[in-house]
Amino acid sequence: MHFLFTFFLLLFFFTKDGWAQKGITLQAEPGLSFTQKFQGRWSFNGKSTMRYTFLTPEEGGIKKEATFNFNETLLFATYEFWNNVKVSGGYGFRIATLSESPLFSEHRIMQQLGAVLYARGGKRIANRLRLEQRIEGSDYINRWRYRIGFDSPLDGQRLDPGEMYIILTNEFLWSFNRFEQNGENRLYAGVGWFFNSQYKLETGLQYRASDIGPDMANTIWLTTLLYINRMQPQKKEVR
Amino acid sequence: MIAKRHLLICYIAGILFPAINTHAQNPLKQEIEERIRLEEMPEEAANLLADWLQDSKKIRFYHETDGDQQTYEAKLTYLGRRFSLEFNTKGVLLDIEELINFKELPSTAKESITTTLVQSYDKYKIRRVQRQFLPQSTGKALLNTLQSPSPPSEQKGNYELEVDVKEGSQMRSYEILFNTEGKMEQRRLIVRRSLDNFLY
Repeated sequence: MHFLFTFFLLLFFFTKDGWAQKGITLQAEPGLSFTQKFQGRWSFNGKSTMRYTFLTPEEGGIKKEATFNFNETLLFATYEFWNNVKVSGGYGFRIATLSESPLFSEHRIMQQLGAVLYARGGKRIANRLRLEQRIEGSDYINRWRYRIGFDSPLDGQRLDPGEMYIILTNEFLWSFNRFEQNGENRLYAGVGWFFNSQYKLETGLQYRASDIGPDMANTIWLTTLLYINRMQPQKKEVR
Repeated sequence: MIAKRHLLICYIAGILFPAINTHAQNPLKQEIEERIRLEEMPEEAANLLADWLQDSKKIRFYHETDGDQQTYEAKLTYLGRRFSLEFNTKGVLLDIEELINFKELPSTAKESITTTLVQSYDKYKIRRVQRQFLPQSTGKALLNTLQSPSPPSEQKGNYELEVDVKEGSQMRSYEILFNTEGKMEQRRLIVRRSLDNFLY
């Protein structure tokens, strides 16, 4: 728990200067992730989130207004070609409003490779490389993103049902097309409640530094995700 | 205003839904393991460990229950060797496991285990090997044996392997117990924690 507190403190100080210079955007993104096993080594994941903005920096102060931004839904088919090494392909879209056309504000095609680098005593380090092709109206942009993360039970060397865990991740994103490019970094610290092998709830703070450079923008996100996983029960069984 | 209400509903649903389901569908026994202090170990176990603790590093103690049975575990590095010692609630030593490399196994056991794995699975990768010692008389006698100057390779025990395998179209992980000669005695499926919070 001390470790988590320290991390949040560091996150605060890391972002403090950025806030002072440019102001901060505060957003929340609750959502649901559902994973279902297919035959063999195939599985399917669907994740849907809603994004809201509460604080936006503007000249002379900060605008306080709760606005709904969009719903983002990502769908993945995943193939596990070795234990804890998974390749995925997916499609995603954003819907900003149901009442105006076009309905979809963004389409996204994704390819992804994910693997666990270390797993011992309940602690894991995993990484993910994702390539995205994003289409917004007539605009097209590529995004390459690499994320590395660590999670650990808060008590003992195994995550048992009913226990909590911490998760820390950092992700670098590079967006580019023939006209422009920009970098973004996302630092995330969260806590999770592992109810059982099929349900877990995770919430945390994410600091996003986007448009890295002189015009860097800072955003703090409160994310909350309910994970439903229909892959397999998490128990050791005597065979 | 609508956005605020929308968000509130999402958060409440997100918090309540899993909690309700957890209580509704959890008839299975739950194994719970937690870290404890030395003072919380059974007195007999603490006494038995006293000599070892003086020369050990990275000492951790755990309590585990599955609802019916309770065990206590000490994990430590003793003179450079990594041990895990399991006790019952009365402090009686149940077994000792030592983390080793596969190449440290006697060649006959190594060959037998390799043959079994090759014949049983399309592909395999050994992730972790532990030598398991069971007390033949008393826990104290076993601890003395392990402290003796005989090289570790001459101290006989079973072998517990964690193995990733390709089995038909499935990728699985097993904990497999082999006896001293390398014959398979027991196999348990290890169900891995989901990766969805890292991947998606």
